[in-house]
Amino acid sequence: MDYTVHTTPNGMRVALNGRMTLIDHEKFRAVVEAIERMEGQVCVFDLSSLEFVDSSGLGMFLIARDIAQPKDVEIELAGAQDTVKRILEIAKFNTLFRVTP
Amino acid sequence: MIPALDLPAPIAGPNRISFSDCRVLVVDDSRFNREILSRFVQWVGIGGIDFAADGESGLERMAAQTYDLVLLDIDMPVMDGLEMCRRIRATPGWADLPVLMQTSPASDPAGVRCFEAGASDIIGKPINAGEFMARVRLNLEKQFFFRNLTDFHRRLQNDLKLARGMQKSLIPDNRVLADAGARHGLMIEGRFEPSDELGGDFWTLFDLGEGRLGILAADFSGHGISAAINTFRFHTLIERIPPHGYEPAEWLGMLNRPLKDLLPVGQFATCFYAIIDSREGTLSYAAAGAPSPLMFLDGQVTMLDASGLMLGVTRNPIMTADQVPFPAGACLLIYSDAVTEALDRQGHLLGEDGLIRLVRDIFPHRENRLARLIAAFDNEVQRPLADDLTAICISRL
Repeated sequence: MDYTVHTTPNGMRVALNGRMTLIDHEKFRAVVEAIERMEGQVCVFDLSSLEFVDSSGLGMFLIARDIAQPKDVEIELAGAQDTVKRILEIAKFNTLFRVTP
Repeated sequence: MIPALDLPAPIAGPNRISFSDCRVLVVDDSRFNREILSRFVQWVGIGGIDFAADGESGLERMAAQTYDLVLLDIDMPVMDGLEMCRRIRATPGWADLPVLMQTSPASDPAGVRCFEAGASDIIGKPINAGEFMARVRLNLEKQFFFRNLTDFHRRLQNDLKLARGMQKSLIPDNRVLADAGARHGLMIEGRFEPSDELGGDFWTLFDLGEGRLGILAADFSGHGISAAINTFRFHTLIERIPPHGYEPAEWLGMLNRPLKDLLPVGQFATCFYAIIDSREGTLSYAAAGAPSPLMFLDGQVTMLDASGLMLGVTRNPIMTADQVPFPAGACLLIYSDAVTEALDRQGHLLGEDGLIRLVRDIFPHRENRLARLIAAFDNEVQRPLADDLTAICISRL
């Protein structure tokens, strides 16, 4: 997995691409740190280029949510393609995150 | 006269080499050289030094005594250093022993012949004390760390093998499956295959009485040791909170609460729990983010919705619960995500569509459905799998 982080007027946007799996834990730590430091109320994960996410990847989103909640930051999972969309559906992530097309 | 060098004292400790415990064999036909080399070796702090004057007596020494490093000259009577080195390397157990050879710049400047014979390192003549000592220490340290790592690896492998046996004992064996199947008029097949020595998958059966059989399959996030420990915790939890007398969703909710307290944020379990009632011909289930089990009946494959928040994520679980007919001839396939997330030879995910296609091809014949499915699966996907594989196939007779 690779990622880029951009500041947006109301928070930040993290674009993820490739496969998000167990081995990306260290990389994702930097994303979590960025959320800790961020200004604004919305953190958008752009998933349009993410090919796959496994259970460890879902766990990383949960960790991000855990950090974001006390700061009143909302996490949005945007633009997931078929495979990732199906995985988010099975996990009913729409009950925890704002999931947008 | 050769000046003594100021060398830093070796730091003691279990992860540090103790040179005084090392034993070195010096093989050289010149008594003068043996004495000089012996002095250098002593300066390194080596505790044990033995000598031989030719290759053959050197090998005799080695047969009688274990050495940590062997120092060879090339030109010697009876058997030269190159031949002795070749024989060392041909001996099982000495393949990684540090062998240092003294080379002469005139005959073999780059030490090519020495390395071809299997030398670990070369020391050019005339011998420079500092270089000599540095190379001896370096090669001894390398050997020490290599041995440490090998020992550690071996110990870990043994531990993992034991732990794997323990994990397998949590999963119903063939006898249990045959007994439960006979009592409930079912054919039950199971496959459990951790991707590493240990895995995060778990499944089991419960005889609930009155013709009811419970099937629980769970998959802890991640894999390897930490996920495996979670399966043991889960097993303990189930012993404490057995499913008897509860509806599927009710029971999974009861398991969710302690799991939420137990698991750190980011760890969770997907879960599918079903009760097959062979008298009523029904299957009642509840699920928390599990892969959609497949129902095969009259040549048709349908997917059961097993979506839901995984166990251990929140205090208020959101699960899917349903009851569907499970008449004679029906077959249920429960599987871990490793199946649909397997990659085919072109690198594409097998996916739910791929699995449904395989099931449609293979399940019309009732015998050995799961074994034949796995064989067809193996034929299409790349091994090894990235995740733990569990598959359970339950056919009503």
